[in-house]
This record gives sequence, structure tokens and C-alpha cells, in this order.
Amino acid sequence: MSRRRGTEAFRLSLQPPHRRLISSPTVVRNPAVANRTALYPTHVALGAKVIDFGGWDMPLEYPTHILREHTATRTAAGLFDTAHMGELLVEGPGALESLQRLVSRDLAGMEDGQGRYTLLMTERGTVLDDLVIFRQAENRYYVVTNAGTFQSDAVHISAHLKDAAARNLQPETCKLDLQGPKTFEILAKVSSALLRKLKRFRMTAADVAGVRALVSRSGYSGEPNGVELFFPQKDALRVWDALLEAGRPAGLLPCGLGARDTLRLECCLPLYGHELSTAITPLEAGLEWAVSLEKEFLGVTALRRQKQEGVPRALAALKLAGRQPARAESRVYRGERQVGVVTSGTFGPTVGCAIALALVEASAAAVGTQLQIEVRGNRLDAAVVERPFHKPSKAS
Amino acid sequence: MSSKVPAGLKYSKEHEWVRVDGNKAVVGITDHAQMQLGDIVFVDLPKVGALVQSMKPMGVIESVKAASDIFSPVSGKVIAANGELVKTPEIINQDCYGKGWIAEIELSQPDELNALLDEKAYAALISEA
Repeated sequence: MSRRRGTEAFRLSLQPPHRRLISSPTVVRNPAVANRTALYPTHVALGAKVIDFGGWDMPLEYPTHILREHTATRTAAGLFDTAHMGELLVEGPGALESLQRLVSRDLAGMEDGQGRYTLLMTERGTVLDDLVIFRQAENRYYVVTNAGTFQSDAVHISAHLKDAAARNLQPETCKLDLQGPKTFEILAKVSSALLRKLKRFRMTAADVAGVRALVSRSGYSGEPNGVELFFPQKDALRVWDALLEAGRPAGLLPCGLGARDTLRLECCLPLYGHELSTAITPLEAGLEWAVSLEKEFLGVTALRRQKQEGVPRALAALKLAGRQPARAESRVYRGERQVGVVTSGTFGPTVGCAIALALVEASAAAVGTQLQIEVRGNRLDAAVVERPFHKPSKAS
Repeated sequence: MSSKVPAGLKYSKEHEWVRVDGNKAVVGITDHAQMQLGDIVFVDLPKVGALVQSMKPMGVIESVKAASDIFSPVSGKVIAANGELVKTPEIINQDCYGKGWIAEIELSQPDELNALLDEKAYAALISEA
């Protein structure tokens, strides 16, 4: 058996075509150049299958495999090592003004501890990265980036700062995501802080397993109950072990990037490099809510024009008739004509069928439109449905 | 992790197994392969009557994360395909040498069997990986 061309779930980690899937279960590379999180040896000891993601050796799945990890997160909780992601501290009297010029969403009016999802823009109105930016104090902002884009984000942001400086916190920071309905029940066993009271996209400092951490109520699973924890890298194993032990009776499982991908895709959260890129605008990606068109920022002119003229393409959520996944880059047809391309596709474990996001001509993106996706020469029926595919039940 | 390599079967370097019965052979994928693939969600089965060639793709297997070719370990005509895999492909994960068989092939070149690995050689192959 061998891996087929163009079916890699994560484009950032695209391997050479026809790489033998089975004969090299772990990535063998010069450890001097491979980025590894502090918990890498722990993942290997747990039997994780390791893949390259954004230049990092990360667990794709543990021996529990993706479906069980996905279901654990939906029904109990999942613990994810996300220390590959980047953190920048932007500080100084010009911090807010500078960031405002770079990102799509208005950051004004946030309280200390409040965060917003936003997009780092090009002048053409396309996207360099998606970020979450928290206001820590009047002149101090905590910026969370993707892994593969961190270096270029840092260079771009630093070059545009006026009366402010950016500090790279990534080397000293461990980040873990705890996601799912049992999140706060588990946290209560290792922290005396009333974290359940934390609102969505709010960050607070709290002791977790005896470690001073920043706790933000956010994540990438679509679950309303979930936190992202930021704390010193030297305490990585201590917090990881404490959370796993506290969560075991509740059904917590360590989860890899495979489950992270199926969880986010069922809830239609974009993945940079797939639904977002320097060739796609946020209006096309269905992220107008994350764009403040009345604000001045890099790329706003192009976006205002596109808003006025109408988007040529739009992101559509496609539900397939069967179980066969249509992967990224599969062609989307309406009748005989190609109208777009799949940006992400998988089997949705909670939805129970194959699902995909596709960038299609705007006229083909209306809910109810019947489309076909070409997979290995066959056309599979797919219908445009409301986003998201799966709506987790409300926060407790 | 150790994976099962039952005696009495032949194995391909591409991680398929072959159970020979006269001029017919049942084929599937090995325990090592199903563990590496992870959760299997779809199998594109070879069609009954199709002619398959040794070491050429005869079908595709999809796990949650990726698609992989299933190579035919032998040449011949497909005389049966495991229809159970259409609705419950996960039986390959549960019982790859039994209920999770993929196809039965009438051998056109039985000599090819000599080129396949026995259980010892296959176990050695996967322990090197």
C-alpha cells in the first residue's frame, strides 16, 4: 500500500508524492532541524504516530486513533499539545495603533483579559494568518499565531510596529488545549480558580496543577467548553500529567492533530493554508464577521471594493451522500462545469458521513445547491448545507 | 507495538496478505498496515470479474486522514469482493485476517506466489521499519 498523491490531511505538511505510508511510521529527520515541543518524548512514549506539521514533529494520533479521540472530545474531553503554535507579546504606547493597521478586526474597546479572533492581512486583502489577540493591559497585547506562519508573522508584525516592540514568547511557552464538555470538571481537580465562570475569549491568570498559567476560554474543537493554557515550558510534563490523571475518570484522552482536524472541520473552523491563504480573502472565506470594513487597515481598500462588487467565490459546506471522503484539491462540478475546489475534506465522525469545505463560484454556494466532487475519476454527489455541519450543545 | 503476523499466509512487501487455496487466493491487508492506517472509513473494492495484476493497485482504502492504494499481491481475476466492507469498513481494523478480507482472486500466474514473503520474512520486514 502507499499513500496516494494529494490526499494528505494537512497541506502544510505535504510529503513528497508516493511516499510509502507504511514503511516509515515515524518521521526520521535530523533532530537539529526538526522543531519539537517539550512533550515530544511523551508523545513517542505513548505510541503516537508522528507527522511533520508546519515544520514541527507532532502527534497525528495515539494508538487510540482519531475516531476515539474525536468522540472523547465531543462527549468528555480531549487534551492537545499545541505548543507548536506561536506567541508574541506586543508592548508599548503604539501597540494598539500598530496592530489595528495590520489586522482585519477592530481591536478597540476590549477590556483587559479580553481576546478577539482576527486576520493578519496583505495589502491585496488576502490573509497571512489567523490570530487570536488578547489585551493584557492598555499597552500590552498577547498575540497567538499558527505554527508554520509564526516566523513570517513575527517579521511582518515587527516591521510595522511604531512605538511598540514585539517579544517572542514561543521558546519559553508551553501551550495545551483542554476541550470538551468535561473541561471544567477536570480543571476543578487541579485548580482552585473558578474557571467555569470565564466567558468565551477571555483570558485570566490561574494556578493549574501548581503552575502559574494563562487560561483562555477558547479552542479549535468547536466545543463551547474548552480552554487553552499557556505556561512555562519547563512545567510542560507536570501540567500534562496532572490533567491526564485528573481527567482519566471522566474519559479524557490525549488527542493528536488528526482529531483536531476532524473536530474543527465539523464545526467549519478555517485552517490556514486551506480555507485561508494569501490567495483567498476573508469575505470569500465567509469570515466577514471578523472584518471591520469601517476601520483602516492593510488590505481594507481591496476588501471594500470586493464587498461592493460582490465576491467571485464563496466557501461552501458540502455534505456528501456517502462515507467516501473527498480530500483537499478535489474538483467540484455543477453539471459538466467545474465550479470550484475542495479546501478540506474528511469523514465527519460525529456527523457520520463525508464532509468537505470547498471554495466555489458564488452562484454555486447557496444552501441546497447540488454539486458533484470528483474523486479518482468518479463524481460523488454533494449538497451545499448550512454551516456548521455540527453544532455542539451549549456551554454549561 | 507488535502486530500479528499469522503463520500459513503469504505476505507482500506492500503489506497485503494472501491465503492460498488451490488456484484461488483470498487477500487482505496486514495487521501492521491497519494499525498504521488508523480508523478505516471507506474501501473502494475491486469489481468482481476485474482482472488484477501483481503489484498494481486494485482498490483504495481511506482512513480518516488519508487514502492509500491497495496493491494486488497476485495476478488474476477477482471472483469475490467483501461487500461487508461497504457499510462497515472498520471490520478491517477489528479483524483484518478474518472478516476484514478484501477480495478473492483466481490466480492466473501461480508462480508469483514464490516471490511473496513467508511470515518470518514479513515479520522481519516490519520490525526494520
